[in-house]
Amino acid sequence: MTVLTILQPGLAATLQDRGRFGYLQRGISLGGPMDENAFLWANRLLLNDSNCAQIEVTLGGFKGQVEQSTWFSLTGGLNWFIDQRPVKAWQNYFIEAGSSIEARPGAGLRGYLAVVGGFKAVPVYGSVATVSRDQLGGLQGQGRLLQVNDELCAVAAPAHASTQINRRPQRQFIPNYSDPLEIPLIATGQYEMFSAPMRELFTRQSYTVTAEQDRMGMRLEGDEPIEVPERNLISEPLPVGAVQVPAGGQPIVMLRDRQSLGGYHKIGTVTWHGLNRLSQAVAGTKLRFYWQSMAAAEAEYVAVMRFFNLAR
Amino acid sequence: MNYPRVVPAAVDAVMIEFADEISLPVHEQVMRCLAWLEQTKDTALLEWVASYRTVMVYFDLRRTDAQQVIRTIEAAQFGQQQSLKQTKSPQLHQIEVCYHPSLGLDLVELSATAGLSVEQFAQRHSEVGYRVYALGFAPGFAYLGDVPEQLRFPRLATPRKKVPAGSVAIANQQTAIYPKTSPGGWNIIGRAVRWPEFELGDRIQFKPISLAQFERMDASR
Repeated sequence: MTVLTILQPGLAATLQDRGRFGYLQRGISLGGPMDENAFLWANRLLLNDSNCAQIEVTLGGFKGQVEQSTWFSLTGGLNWFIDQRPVKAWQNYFIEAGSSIEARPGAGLRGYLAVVGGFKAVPVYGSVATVSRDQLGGLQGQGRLLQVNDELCAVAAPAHASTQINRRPQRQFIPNYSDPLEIPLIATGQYEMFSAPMRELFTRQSYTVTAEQDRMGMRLEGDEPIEVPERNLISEPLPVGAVQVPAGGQPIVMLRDRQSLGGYHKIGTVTWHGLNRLSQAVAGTKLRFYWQSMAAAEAEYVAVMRFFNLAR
Repeated sequence: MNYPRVVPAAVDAVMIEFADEISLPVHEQVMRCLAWLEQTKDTALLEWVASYRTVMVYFDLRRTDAQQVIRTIEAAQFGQQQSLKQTKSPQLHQIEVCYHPSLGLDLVELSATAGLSVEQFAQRHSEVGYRVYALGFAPGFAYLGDVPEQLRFPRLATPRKKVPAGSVAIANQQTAIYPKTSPGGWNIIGRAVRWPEFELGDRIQFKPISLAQFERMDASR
């Protein structure tokens, strides 16, 4: 039975679980939530499994109608409304049938809407994550974004009001998307091939997030271009978070829907925390990178995996 | 540089690098590495993706870390082992291609630059066997090598917005079939009607067909 009908998808609303693991060798991208921290919290607030499918809303302009009274949660960087009244994000709510849920522009770029048990779709290659460039995932399995009148069912039966309580993360866990952007990255790829002055320049100067960004990658712009190592690189596997520097010297950060191979030199890889923050940055946002040690990045990610009980 | 070299790629991934060139011997090292990965009992190694000279391996950070994975892989020495059996034996695929200027949009210009007739160009492209060196860019996209020296041309300065599915294309020493209609910057020299799902290491032989044959096959598809 339908639990939510899409009245307005906004710029891009997609169904996402944690992504499509295990098919990179076939050129199939990971997909999944751009801000995985906000996504994982949305499931956690409903006591959902960490992989339960949610709606990722981009920028705002989203409106859905609740068809069955049940528990939902709202997280991320958008402003949320229930029946046109503003509500706090980062909380679960029991919402009655007939009510509307809206997301409007906020301090960040993406919001997450979860339902108890997760939204239902047939997995393709083990996942419902929508990757439009791979034409995989989503409601019909072909990578289509959510559209007006799409009807979403939940995996679990509707949950009565009495089955849950309102939950919010402790304050220190709620990101402030207006904070200055300091993005951690680890030295990987061709780091050693970039000259020392270029590695230093990369973290010294500030970068501006450009409008050239999507779920695949984000172009940044700095005053001074980074000089790229002379020797051509033979195309090689590309991890999520890789910072590629093409000949023009302006970096591109590879995100969840990135292609599996890339031929530009990589100066480093943005960490999980860094990617979550970047994914909430609208065009024009200034940011600065800083180098994090491998050991520190590992410790942080292990803590995340334990906290959210992630299989990987 | 000493190869193979294993370096961190992400907090939960390492990159194994073999030599700094595209060649059949390097590809065979990559294949031995993949055979080793498929047979290893180390369940902390989760997923891998290969290219011409590199293999990236994702691992379970709760059970191991980059340092440990690097040590394990360095100790494996699959680069020296000839005996590792591949679990799946590579397939030989014959693929029919129509090298006609109406389908191979860059064929006339490239042939002229190479000092060949269109027919000679088609013959040169189809008389050598290719290997699947890498899979990626998009699902089903296989990078095949090596294109004969005389047929090596750089990518287009401006990529086309729309390359039809089945287009056979070349870029430097690589050739490929576009599995879906998509943007693309490679030189288009022909069109295939049918092609298989490629696996790394598969062997490919192209067979020229006439425009009439192509149209018949395309209509009966």
